[in-house]
Amino acid sequence: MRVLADSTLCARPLTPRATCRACLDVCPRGAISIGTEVAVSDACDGCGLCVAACPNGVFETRWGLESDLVAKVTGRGRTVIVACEAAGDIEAPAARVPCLGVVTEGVLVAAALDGVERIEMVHGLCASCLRREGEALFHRAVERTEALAGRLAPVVDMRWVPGREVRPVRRATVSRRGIFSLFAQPLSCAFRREKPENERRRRLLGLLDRSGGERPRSARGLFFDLDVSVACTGCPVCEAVCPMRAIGREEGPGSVLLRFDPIRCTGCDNCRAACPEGAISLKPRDYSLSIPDGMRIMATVPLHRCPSCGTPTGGRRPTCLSCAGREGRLRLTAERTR
Amino acid sequence: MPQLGFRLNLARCVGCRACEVACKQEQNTVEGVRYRQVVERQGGEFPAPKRLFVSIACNHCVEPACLKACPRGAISKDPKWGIVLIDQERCVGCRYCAAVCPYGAPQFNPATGKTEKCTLCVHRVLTKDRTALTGYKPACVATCIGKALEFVTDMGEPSEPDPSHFADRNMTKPAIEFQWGWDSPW
Repeated sequence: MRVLADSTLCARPLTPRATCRACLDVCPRGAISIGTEVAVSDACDGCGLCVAACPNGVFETRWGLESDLVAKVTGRGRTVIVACEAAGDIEAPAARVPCLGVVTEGVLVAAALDGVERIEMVHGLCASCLRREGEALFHRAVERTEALAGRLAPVVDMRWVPGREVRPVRRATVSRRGIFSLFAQPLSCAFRREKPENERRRRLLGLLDRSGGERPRSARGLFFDLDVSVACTGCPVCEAVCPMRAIGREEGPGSVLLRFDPIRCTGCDNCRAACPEGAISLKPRDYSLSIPDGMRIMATVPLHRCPSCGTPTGGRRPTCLSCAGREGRLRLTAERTR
Repeated sequence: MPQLGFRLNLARCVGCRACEVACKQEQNTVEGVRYRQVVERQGGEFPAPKRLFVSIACNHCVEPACLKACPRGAISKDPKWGIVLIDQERCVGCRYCAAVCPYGAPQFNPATGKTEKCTLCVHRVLTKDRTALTGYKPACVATCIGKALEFVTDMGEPSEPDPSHFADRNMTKPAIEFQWGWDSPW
């Protein structure tokens, strides 16, 4: 396995109701499995599509996919050529990538800020390629770059040069000598950053700050706002399942304050999926420099005393959930003696 | 796979609540948290009414409602023994398990801000690696002076009816059975 995974950022281990499948859907080899931890199996060939697909920045290649690509495409003049592995021979590409899908908006915006005006993308035949899911990822990145960088966005030219085909590699038979090199590989794909942080997001935000805020930018699927309906009970579920720590919850004397940081939110949908009351809805928003740093108050849920047990409770139900459970149906403990 | 559970002889239970006390002591629960509760019920019909005491804790259901309701995936059912446990590390205290449990088993602990419930004394009845039974019984069963509460290591279909107001078995398939007839346990 050549891709590392930081499970603390992944949405799926936090709740069984998680809907995010970004990496699972793009991995051409089905090498990713997510239980309580994110695991990348030996089938991984390090194409890096999961790195580009994951909104939370869980994955990283051993060589630092995005920063490596940024270094390759910048400082090379106004036109750069990037080719995928399946493309045929071409003259002096700035970078050969496993698939054009790994060229993220982070790379393209960085190139734009470097003064790159034209990027030539050379690809092979996507339809029959093992990594065909990367095509959609790449188009998404181009779309986002146009939205984020505005008139700075480089012109992206696609060119098809037929060449080699990426096929599933059959696992080579291991020689007697080679078996030891297998042991030399690290056994685990787990890695942990010192501070769990979405590095892709941080890099992108840094780039956007550098570009200056001339126009409000709208980029589909990058920035979100949360709406909380009156059904919210102020329970701690959304805060607990947010892998980006974009939701904060504070319990005051008479109310619960929910805070939200749109800068951190990547729209992984965990909070909406996990909310037992269905009180959360996500809607895309524009990125503009007017987004204040830090957590803004998203909702204030007033608390009232449960008439049955006296504990503070929020939402539309008259009683707290423990009492609602006890009194709801024909419960054996409904008339518990004291 | 055996399903562990309880059997309660309603004729033998006199409502002394020693099981409640033993549970509190064994699990060291805080005030207000009662894993096991004894409720009083009316049984029989006029002219022969009966006073019933029903001792109820978590029934470690075959299809636990709490497990499906938990938004954190903190509740698990042991695949080998069928014990339903709440992972205190993962629990965030939202109390939705308490809201859906037909038996009121999950108890919110205000001290920790998390929900707890009967563990079937898993530390007593199973070995540390949870592969075998130790032969010890849960604290409530061990303490029951009337021998009304029994520990069942292989739960089957109940042969006798449930007391009134016992939630429909089809909802969660609880691992508890009741006995109505008196026979001397001694």
